[in-house]
Amino acid sequence: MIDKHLNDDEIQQYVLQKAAPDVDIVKHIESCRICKIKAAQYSMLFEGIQQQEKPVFDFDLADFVIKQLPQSQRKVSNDKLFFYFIILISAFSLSIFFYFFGNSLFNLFKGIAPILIATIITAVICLFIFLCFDMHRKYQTQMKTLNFY
Amino acid sequence: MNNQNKNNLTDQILVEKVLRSDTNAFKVIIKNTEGLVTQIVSKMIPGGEDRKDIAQDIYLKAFQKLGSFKFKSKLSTWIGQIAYNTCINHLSKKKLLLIENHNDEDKSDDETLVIMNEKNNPFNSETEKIIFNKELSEILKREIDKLSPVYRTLITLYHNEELNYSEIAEITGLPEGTVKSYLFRARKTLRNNLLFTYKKEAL
Repeated sequence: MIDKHLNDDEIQQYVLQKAAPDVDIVKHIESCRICKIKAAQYSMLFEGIQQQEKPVFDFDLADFVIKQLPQSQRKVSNDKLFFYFIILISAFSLSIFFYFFGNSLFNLFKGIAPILIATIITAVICLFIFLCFDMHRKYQTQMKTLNFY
Repeated sequence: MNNQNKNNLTDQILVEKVLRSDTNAFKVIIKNTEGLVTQIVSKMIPGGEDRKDIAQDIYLKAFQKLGSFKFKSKLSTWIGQIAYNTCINHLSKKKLLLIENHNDEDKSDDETLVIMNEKNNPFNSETEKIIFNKELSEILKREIDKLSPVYRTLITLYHNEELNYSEIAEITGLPEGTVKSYLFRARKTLRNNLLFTYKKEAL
């Protein structure tokens, strides 16, 4: 059996009874007046907390929020529209460029050694990956600053 | 089918409906989670008018981010997480203390407190017990309000919302061990303050 008084953590655990109580702890509480009173006080405290009135808002939260939603939805769809518009414009510009200057672009690389082309392509890909990564990192920082989540 | 799966299925159906622009489904989500959000906001934010704006902000954020919800937790836990983070950000902006040092040790020696309150034992008769419970409830409300916002919220999530440690850890973003330790300290502080106040008022 435990000789000295139980600490608050042990008494709280005993009262909460989330896990099967240790036999020694139960025996001690049954025989120790101080720990028994402490356990009763904690039990009364937990009961008191559970009996506290639940807070409620003095307005209809659901109605209040729903009224604000259509505006947000329109904003989201406008953002998407703008994104698709940019993609469309980029695709159109690229196809015009390749249609008129495709051959010239191909001739531009004709005289260059393959190793040089490979170097240029590798550098461009590395730079592109780095920029994408940096952009994503900045986007995440901005979203955090904007307090979105 | 267990409760967790049932909840996930209901959450999934509701989220899909909201993503298909069904605002009524979002209203159901608000109704289902309003209790938890109200508890978090009320315990974290002291002012009344701020609470209204924050509660609205929480659900607008949830609505905007609903597409990114991965069903790794319950929808209510996810919304609770948004509520908690929104309140924390609000308190940080106002430079309010999130966790205070409660020097409950100074108030009185633990054993003395137990014995002194035993002398004022309120359980002598049924009438005294009823009066005591009413008194206790009022004192307890005041003492809970004196706790720091994080302690208040943890106590409420555990004892009133009956969430387990891992759900509280998910909502608050604190490690499970920290949640347990904060809860233990909050309860101890609350008990000591309660006995100290009751002893003072009984004299």
